[in-house]
Amino acid sequence: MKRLALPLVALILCTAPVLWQLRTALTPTDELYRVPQAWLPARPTLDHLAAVFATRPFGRNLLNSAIVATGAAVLALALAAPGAYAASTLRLRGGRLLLGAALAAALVPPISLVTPLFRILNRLGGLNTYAGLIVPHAALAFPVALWVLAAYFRGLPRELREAAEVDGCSAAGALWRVLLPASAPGLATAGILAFIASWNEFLLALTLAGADRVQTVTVAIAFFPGIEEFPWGEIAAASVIVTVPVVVVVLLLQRRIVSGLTAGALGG
Amino acid sequence: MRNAALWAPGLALLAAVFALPLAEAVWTSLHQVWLQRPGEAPFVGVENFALLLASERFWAAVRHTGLFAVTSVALELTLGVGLALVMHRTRARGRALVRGAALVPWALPTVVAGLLWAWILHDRHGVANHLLVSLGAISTPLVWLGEPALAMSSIIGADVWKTTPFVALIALAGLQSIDRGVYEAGSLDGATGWRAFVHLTLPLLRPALLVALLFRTVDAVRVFDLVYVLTRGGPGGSTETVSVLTYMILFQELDVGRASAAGLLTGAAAGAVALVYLRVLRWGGAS
Repeated sequence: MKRLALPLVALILCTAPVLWQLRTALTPTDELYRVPQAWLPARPTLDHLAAVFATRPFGRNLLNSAIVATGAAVLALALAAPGAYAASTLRLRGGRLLLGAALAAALVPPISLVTPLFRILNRLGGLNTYAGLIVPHAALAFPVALWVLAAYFRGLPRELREAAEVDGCSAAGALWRVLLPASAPGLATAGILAFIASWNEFLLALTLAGADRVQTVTVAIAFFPGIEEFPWGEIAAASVIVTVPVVVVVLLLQRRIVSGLTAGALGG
Repeated sequence: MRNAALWAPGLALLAAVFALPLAEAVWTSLHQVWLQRPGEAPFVGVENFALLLASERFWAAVRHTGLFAVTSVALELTLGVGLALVMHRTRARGRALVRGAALVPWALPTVVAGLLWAWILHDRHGVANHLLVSLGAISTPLVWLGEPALAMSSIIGADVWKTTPFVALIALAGLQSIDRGVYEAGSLDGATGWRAFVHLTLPLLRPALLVALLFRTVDAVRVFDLVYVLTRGGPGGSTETVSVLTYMILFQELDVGRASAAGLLTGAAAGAVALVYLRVLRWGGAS
């Protein structure tokens, strides 16, 4: 039993706050403000979940986040895959330059970019557009995608690339026809990490795409609180909706995500 | 350059989103630019930087950021290594369970994590006060987000909850790569238990921990989301960090030039921290 005590404490500390939010989402408002609160709602309700969609453009926010995160993940992968190939397998000088630039980029605080990106996008008419948020999000996700893919390519058998060269493939041909088909797990990991990074991002989404029609979920939830009242039930309901898909994907693919995170954090 | 088509597009993306805006920020930081008057931009030299460096509010923000960064990173590193050791010692199925649970705070959007803690710490209806009062730890409910020291502690606590698991996963990967033979050899020399941890485990974990430390510190220096959601920098500016201050200068005072200068100073601070770590890393790698 003693061996299980610490893992159990860790388990509870990590999940209890999230479960409390789930409980809040299912508790009617009058019960939320009762003192002291009960552990479980006496009359569980789906009212908050319904209200989030009925009284707010939350469906639209979800769609916006899905579009931006998918776009950012696809763009990051499309540019990181050939870059990682050049840096790892081919060991090109340009590839190594790209690795260095990615490390430098990963260290830049987003707040340093907010003011100039706001001005540049303002000039180009890109404020409050999908593209105006997809491109910065793709760039923020690019370094980790590059490191994860470079680490993955390095782990592939050398014969794979040599076989492609014997077949007379160009470098791009070898990447497209041989390396990428063999790298589905690496691409999935890098893609999911990029998707989650964009789905969760707040500062740039707030400053570059705050208008209703492109507003993402993180910005929408942050603005749920009104001047006077905090709709805690609805905030909890929206939080659960935003979190569940990400948590399910992460738990299903936890082995890959963890190895991707470690590869990303250790610089490939 | 051969095969430039492979790496040049990635480099172009980084140039467009990082290099070009940073160059633009340098230009605006040297001019007087107002958000509502885009046409005029007289050159003012380093006046924007001078104004910032002379303002009490800026140095207060630097102190808050430093306090947050040092405290949260120290706690995350200590607890993260502890959590990694717990996971490492737990057997296969239990380990997968704890690792899955540890991924939950990491996967949550920071904004969602912030609001979650704002509700738990709510002074009248929050479960934290309810628990602490019924356990007898405090006699009256605390106003967690309404008093300076408590508000900063709350922000640090929320950050520790959200990011300790990330440090733990990196440390766990480091632990798993340590050869068991090291401990067997060590035990012959009397290095077991705590001594083995200090003299064998920690030195071998050092490279992984330094990398985790680098990314956590840089992240802590640029903290924005949690502060914005939990306190907006309050009460009375007591939790305002440099990122939040920069945001306020841009969108409340509409002073683009000074916001650019503040953003650049934040970037310089993050860069300085990174350089120190990278130097230590390289030195550690060479030794």
